[in-house]
Amino acid sequence: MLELKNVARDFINNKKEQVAALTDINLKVEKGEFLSIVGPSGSGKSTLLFIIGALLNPSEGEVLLNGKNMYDTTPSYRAGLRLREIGFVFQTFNLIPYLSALDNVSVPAMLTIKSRKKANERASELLQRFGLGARLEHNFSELSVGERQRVALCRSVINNPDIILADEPTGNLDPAMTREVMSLFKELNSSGHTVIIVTHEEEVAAYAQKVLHLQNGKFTNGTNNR
Amino acid sequence: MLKEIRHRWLIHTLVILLMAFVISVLVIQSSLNSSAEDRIKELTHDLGKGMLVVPQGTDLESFYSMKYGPEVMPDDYGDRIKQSPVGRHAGKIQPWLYGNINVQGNDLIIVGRTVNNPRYGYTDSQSITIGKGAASVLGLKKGDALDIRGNSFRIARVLDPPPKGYDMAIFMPLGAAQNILDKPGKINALNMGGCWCKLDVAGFAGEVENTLPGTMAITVDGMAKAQTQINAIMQQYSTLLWITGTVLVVGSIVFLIFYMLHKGEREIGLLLSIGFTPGKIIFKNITIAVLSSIIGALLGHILSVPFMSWFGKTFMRIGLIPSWDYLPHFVSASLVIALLASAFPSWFVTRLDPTRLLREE
Repeated sequence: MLELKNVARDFINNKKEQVAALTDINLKVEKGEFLSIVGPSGSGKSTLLFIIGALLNPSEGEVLLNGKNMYDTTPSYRAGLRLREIGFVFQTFNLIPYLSALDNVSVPAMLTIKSRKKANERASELLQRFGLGARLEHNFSELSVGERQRVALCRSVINNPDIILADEPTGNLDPAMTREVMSLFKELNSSGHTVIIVTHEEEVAAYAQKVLHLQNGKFTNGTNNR
Repeated sequence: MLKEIRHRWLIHTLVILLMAFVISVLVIQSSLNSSAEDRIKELTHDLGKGMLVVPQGTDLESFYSMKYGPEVMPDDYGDRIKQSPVGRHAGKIQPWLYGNINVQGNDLIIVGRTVNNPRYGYTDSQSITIGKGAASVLGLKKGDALDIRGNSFRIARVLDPPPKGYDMAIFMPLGAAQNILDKPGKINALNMGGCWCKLDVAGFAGEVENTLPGTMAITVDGMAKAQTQINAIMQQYSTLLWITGTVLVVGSIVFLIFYMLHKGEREIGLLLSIGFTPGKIIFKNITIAVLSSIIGALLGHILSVPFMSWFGKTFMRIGLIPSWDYLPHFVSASLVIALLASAFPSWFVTRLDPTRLLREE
């Protein structure tokens, strides 16, 4: 389903030096898989996630989604992938602060179904399913940290994407909330979504079927299948 | 988008107000010449070739609209002029007292004059002459009696047609008008005629004002000069005004966009990550800038009405109104400027590395 072939990504740092963030990354992810990529800060995890998520062109290599190199396509095609095929979840949730939970979740749906009413209905159903039925009209500041991440999760799946990408999704959560959010990822994975999480926490990575370790832009230990 | 504007209402309001101020200044600059010229033509038509001396503080616009204020001057000012050195240039001097009065529920104008003009036909302090309109609303004809504030008058004549603008006027001797208007020994206008072809009219007006303290001497020449001076100043600063105005408008739009982008960098990264195309984000920002600029331009036009009125009264002693003919031009120009000024920064930020926009600090 998703395949990375010899992917590399370089950056120019503040001293105008070329720095390799990722080197020779090869990866295959099958539909319905739950994959964790573990590594310390600066190892290239987020860069890899953004490349998989059609947000960041690799310097070299190919990223094939269903056999098609997503970076051989137009920016609007890739925007379409992010809208329909890929959902993102971030460490700091990235909710729009002046929108309610319902509006935050319904934004991507409005782009696909073009109807505010239907988008709100779908968002409302999702939020209720994730235990936030009483929080629909609450703004960012009125939600607990765990609730914010659940809202972000709802937003990532509102268009029913095949792939969910999560960048340190439990980085700001306490252990109880971490368990709660990770069980939601498990639930989403069980319902057919492919889940890829990058994290620096081994305990979080352990929720996945497959764990990859990334160090200095390279996979170090291959895969740990569970 | 509206929620975003509401969230950042303060900065949007500031930008709109700045734009409105700039636009109002430019509207005034643009409309001043034609509006002032038209108004001065009207006023000088009323003024004729003579000189009008009125008490200082008189609102000329109201005066010519026959709404008289409380400003008065002594009624011996006519004699004082005659006896002064400037008197030899004044062939005819007419002291007048004008006032507004309500008679039997009708708003009328009192005109008190010492001149024994046969046209008006009053020869004693009990006879008056009234305009056709006033006679009609009061149901009076020649020879009837009229009581005004306890004073009885006989109508010597009904003016048909009345002098222009005096349809609702009651003409009476100055003393009677002073009595009715409760302004004994006072007048509020002195009309002077004469041949001043070889005189420096502005200098002459200055001498009249010196001779009659607390007065303004208004002449066609003076008004024309005031307009010419204002026009010259406007002409002189026109380019600077336009450049400054354009820079301020462009600057405020660019500031607005950069502010929105700076404050909303992560939001842009997020919108990109959830499927917004760069084009949609650019469109959203441009739309907000265009909306702000159109509101600013409209508000600027509205603000230019009181600004221009104040400007005219302060510097030219006349009321001016801006030309609405410029509205489409200013709205279009603001729209184009907003488009151009917001397009690049909006495009630029969507080209930034989303990993930087979204990366945790």
